[in-house]
Amino acid sequence: MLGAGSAWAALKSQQLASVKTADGVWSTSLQKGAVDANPYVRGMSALRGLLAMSAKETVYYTAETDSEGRRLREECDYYLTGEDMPARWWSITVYDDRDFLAMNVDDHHSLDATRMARDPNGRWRARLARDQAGAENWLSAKATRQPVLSLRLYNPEAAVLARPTELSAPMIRRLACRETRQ
Amino acid sequence: MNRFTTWGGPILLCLAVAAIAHVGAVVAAPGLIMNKAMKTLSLGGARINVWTHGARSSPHEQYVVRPSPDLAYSACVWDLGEGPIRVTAPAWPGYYSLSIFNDNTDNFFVANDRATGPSGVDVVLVVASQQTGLKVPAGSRVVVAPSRRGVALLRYLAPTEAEFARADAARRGAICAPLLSEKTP
Repeated sequence: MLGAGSAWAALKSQQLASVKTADGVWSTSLQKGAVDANPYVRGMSALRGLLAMSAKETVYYTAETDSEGRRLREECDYYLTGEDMPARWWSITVYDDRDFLAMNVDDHHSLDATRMARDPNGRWRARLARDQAGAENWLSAKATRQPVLSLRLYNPEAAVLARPTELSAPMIRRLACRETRQ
Repeated sequence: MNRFTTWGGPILLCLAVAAIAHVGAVVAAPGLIMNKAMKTLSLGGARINVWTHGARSSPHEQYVVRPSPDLAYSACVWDLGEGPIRVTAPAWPGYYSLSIFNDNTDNFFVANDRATGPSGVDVVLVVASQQTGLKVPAGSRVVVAPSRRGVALLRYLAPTEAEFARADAARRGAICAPLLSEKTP
């Protein structure tokens, strides 16, 4: 039990199988999907990103905390800010704490490079919360409990593959929290 | 007899067993999870060596963790036990890819629209022992699988309902079928 439990915890946490961006928020592994992946990466991919493609095709980043290191919570409102990612196509998708699309009918689980509204400088701002509150870019946190964000970079530029921790990743700023779930 | 002499051995034995169980679980997890996924994607084994075109991912349409609602997915659970199979992905004006995974989740092959011509991706999937005397259709390339079973996946970029409908029409021309009994889809 101890051995299997510690294995599950290690794979679920991803700590042994990934690196983080400079802000400490977004984690990734270039070994995901790779034939020469180490057993922890392979196990972590199977558990939290089954059928992920190898890094040359797609690099996947995950965030579970805001930019101050606090666990993302459904009860809180956040703003993500960023710029175009160095890839042919990219998206940010929100999942629930079991890594599935949350059971809500908002149809706002994902934002991608083709639909993200940007300012004249190419920067974008997206709201992660249970309600849209007039935001142009919205990711619904409803029924996520503890939201998990996945950033996909399809056909990433060479710099991402060479220095994945130096990605200028989206910032996640917490605005306010409610006391209870709605 | 001191306490270490009494309890040291059993404690060390427990830790050693736990360490072995830990490593065993880490190594076994991908195969077990992939096996479960192959059962789900093949509808309990009923759909082997044939594409299953998924509906747009939503809270009620998701078969593995972290699906992207921006992509149209098709899955083919393949088994080379009866011989080679042919796997194709029709071209379309936008990103698409064919990725192939072995039975422990390794992505040993991927090709996208940039790596292929206007005719799309076209491969003959074999295990090493099936290469002798193999008749490869014109335009196909041979890919050697490291396992007898696995999953092929199509991804067509389709972030909206309208694009999904167009991608769905394009992927209907895809083939995943035994090489000798291949039929027009």
